[in-house]
Amino acid sequence: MNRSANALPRLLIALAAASACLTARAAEPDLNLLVEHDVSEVGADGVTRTMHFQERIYRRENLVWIERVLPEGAHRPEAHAGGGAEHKHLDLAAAARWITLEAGRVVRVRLVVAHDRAVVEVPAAEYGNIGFDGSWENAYHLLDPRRLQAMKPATGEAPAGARWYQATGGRQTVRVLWDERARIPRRVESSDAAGTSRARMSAREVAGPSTPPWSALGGYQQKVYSDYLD
Amino acid sequence: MRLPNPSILLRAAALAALAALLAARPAAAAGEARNVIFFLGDGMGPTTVTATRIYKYGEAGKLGMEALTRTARIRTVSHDAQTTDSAPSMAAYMTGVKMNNEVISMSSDTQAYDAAGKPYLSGADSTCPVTGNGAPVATVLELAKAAGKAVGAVTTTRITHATPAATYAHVCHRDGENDIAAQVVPGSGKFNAALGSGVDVLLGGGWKFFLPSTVTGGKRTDGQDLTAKLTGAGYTYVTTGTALKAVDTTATTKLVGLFNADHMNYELDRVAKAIDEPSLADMTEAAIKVLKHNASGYFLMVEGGRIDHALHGTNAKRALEDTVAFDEAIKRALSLVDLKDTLVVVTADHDHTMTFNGYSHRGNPILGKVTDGKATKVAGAPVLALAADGLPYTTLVFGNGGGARNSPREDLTAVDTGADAYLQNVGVVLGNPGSETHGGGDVMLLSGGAGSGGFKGTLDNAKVFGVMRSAFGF
Repeated sequence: MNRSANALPRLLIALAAASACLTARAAEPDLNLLVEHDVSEVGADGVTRTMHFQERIYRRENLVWIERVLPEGAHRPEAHAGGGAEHKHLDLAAAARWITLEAGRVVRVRLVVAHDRAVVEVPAAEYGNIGFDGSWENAYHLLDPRRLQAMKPATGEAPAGARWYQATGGRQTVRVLWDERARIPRRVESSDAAGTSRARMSAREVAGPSTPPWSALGGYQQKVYSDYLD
Repeated sequence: MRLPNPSILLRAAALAALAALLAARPAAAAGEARNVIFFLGDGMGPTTVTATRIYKYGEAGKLGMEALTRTARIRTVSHDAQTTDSAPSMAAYMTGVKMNNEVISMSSDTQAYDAAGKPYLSGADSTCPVTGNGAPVATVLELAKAAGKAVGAVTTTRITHATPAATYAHVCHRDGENDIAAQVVPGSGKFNAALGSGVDVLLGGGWKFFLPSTVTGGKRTDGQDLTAKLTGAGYTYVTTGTALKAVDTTATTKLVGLFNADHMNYELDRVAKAIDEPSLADMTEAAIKVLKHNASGYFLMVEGGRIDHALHGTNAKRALEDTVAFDEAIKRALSLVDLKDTLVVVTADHDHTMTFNGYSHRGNPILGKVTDGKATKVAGAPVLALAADGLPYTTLVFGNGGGARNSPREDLTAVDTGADAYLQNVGVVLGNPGSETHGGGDVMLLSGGAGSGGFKGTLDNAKVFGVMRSAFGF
């Protein structure tokens, strides 16, 4: 999924290695989320670089749909038609990620390109190229719940049913506001000790789509990732 | 009025081109080589070769291909583009003719796109005009076949992909892979008659273009099962590495192996996941053993095709692993042939934008971060070099590429840049996955054996064809 290495702090990745077993649980609630990412870094050159983007995430049993919130009118089919859409043209920002958990807990990842009316199967070796880390738990929960095991409960104002966790490793501190019902982080905040790097992710529930986008793909071409390579 | 059968026209044009070439051969051809093996590392530019050497053998080490000491520098510009794609570059090697990007072994005037800029394609079916859009030009593989030699093509991509296709097919747009498959299969209705009794060895991926769309995974729109036609034509057909190992090469003269519906796996994944696909070295060995039954000799093309794909993805580790596998195939071939009667050529079709940065100390991992060589010497331990933003950077980076995820540059201090899936930083962010472009710089050619004397200095890629033809004595 589209967790930038900045937005998903490196410390959390390190913490993930601390646990291994999958925990069998009852089905989690369906969710319709708007997730916002804000990243700010001050370089040694004195330039502050900021990044902000939003995603809609729809979670169902064994299914996660992630799509970037795009500017109105961007990626219209006619705009792409002039750019050689027939060949080697796969716009990652415009493509939704359709992640499903198949039989045997096998993760399947497809890109859905609306302007090209194409569903693109992505093999595991290419996950890095679409910004997916291969973890079903990270996709389904936004953050693998097992990572909380290596964090300590922390203080902070929290809504009912949620609590803060915190971990510090090296120069970086990470705080997670974990929603026990939805089993997702409502917020993830990270910062470094020097105050030069800050990342925040926040998730809130919104109204779901009238028609699930994954059920409206009739007539889409079935492609594979290699169709876009030369 | 009854329209002519396109395949008949294609066949006639190919045969005419072949006859003209044979008639025009030099009176005093060298003819030193009974066999020619042409190795093509797709996208394997000079930086990739150097990085692979360091990755596998260290700075003082030597790749197998470096045993080939007759070398040249190759210009890769295509007929219509500063930076070539694989189709016209490989086709230039195979035919001696410069052509437009996307075009497979056709004359220079052939267009891949119509006047409106739309490619001559319908899915994987070619819609190239039957007349008025160029003509086939003979390939060295076709010439070798016409001279009575055995011929083969081996690759880690789909066997219908641009590089192998340029040895045996003629089409105005490389993505017409259903047609490309039909051109190599006797009895398909579109078989390339210049291939005579057919290509003797075909090993690679891409069975989806050989099976009808009525079969799961099949893409053919004409309903044909081309694998059945191949077995009907006397080919031994295998689909796994295990099955290839079981082939009795002493008793086989026609061999087809299609080991994946699509491209074969990257070497890194093939090994790590124990996937039952053969290595490029094993395919090369099988091909040589089958082809050498022909007393007149053989022509074999071997492609390390997925080097290019990993580079497009700015995934240097997979690119280097595939280059190592390619080098192993060269070493295997050199252990099986006699250079007194065999010409071995190793080159690339084009470069990529990967470059090699910094002043790291010797011994620094090539997939690692750049070190400050002087500070490292003083400290007695690696000291990372920092960019103007105060962050470390990797030795290998790309001039452009997907790179959408790291808007402010990522702090690599605690990142394992040698991990399998690590993607190198890019300069110009193109946004699309796998979109890193080819590079337009010259590439290396290494050769050895019979008839290799012509490979020296700076050569245009189209001139390589002439040296091979001369070595064969055509």
